[in-house]
Amino acid sequence: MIAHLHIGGITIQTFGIFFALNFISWGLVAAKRLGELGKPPDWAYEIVVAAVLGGLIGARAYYLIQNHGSLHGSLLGNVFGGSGLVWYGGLLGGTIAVLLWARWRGFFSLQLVDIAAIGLPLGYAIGRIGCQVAGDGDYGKPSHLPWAMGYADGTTPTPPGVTAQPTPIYETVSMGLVALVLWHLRDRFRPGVLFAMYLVLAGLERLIVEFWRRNNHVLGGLTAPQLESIGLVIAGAIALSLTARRHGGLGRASRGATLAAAA
Amino acid sequence: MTAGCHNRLVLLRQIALVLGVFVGATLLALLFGAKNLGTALTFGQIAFAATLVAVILTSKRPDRES
Repeated sequence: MIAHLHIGGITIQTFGIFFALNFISWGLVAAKRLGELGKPPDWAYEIVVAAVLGGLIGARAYYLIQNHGSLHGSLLGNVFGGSGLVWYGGLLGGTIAVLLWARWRGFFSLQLVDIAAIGLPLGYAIGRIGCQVAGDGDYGKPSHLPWAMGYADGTTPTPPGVTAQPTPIYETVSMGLVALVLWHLRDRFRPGVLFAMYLVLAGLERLIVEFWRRNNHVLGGLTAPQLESIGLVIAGAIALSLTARRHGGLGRASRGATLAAAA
Repeated sequence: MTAGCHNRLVLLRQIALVLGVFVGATLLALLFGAKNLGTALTFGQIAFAATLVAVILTSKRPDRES
């Protein structure tokens, strides 16, 4: 694994490269969808900037809250330290920042939430490449499967001779397929349904993958991300159920309705 | 062919493409001497994601289903 690249005297973290690619892809997809909805594609770049800033603050804050007992040194030193980002914190921070942007732009609608429903799994799939290449500890439990591998040069290395399940690869493939399917269904359902589907699918994916990962159990034999995933699945299922009950179904009548809702 | 049927075929073709690229890039990495299968799969993972982004950005809007 390659945690760092040294180019022209500059050290670049490989995780950072994929972190950036994640947001670039996000922006391109959002721009395309905004264009389809008759909105300015340039808004995509504003959304990405808001998501990056909010996501970084949220991911770091969540890490500091989770690990406050094991941190040493000053508060500022810990806040701006080199590592420690948690996905769910980033999701929360990014969501709040994008919603604030939407309110400012007058685009506070379920259409925006559905754009995020495609960008989030796509970004997750790309971000997990960074985890895999950097060997940052997001890999699985020790294993002797034919595709198990060691992360001896990772930022969180495996012990010599130990091989582990490359769970970031599982996550890239599964969430990448989720992004592709949701992208394909983008005009088919009522506004907000895509995001509810994302919540259910993302929750299920993480719930299952966690059984191979090496996070500590916190309650009932489940890890913290598994408990959070169950929350996502329930929230998504409730949203789908309420939408179906209120409108007599989840489908949308026509593409004209998409544009009418976006207007 | 109905719009719904056509849309499903397009989706299946796209899924087959991204998974095919994943497998193909993994096999190529093995052929070129990847240290182990996990490392080869990492190349497959990168190729999968790159193809996925390309497929999403170049795909046409699905036909309207009645």
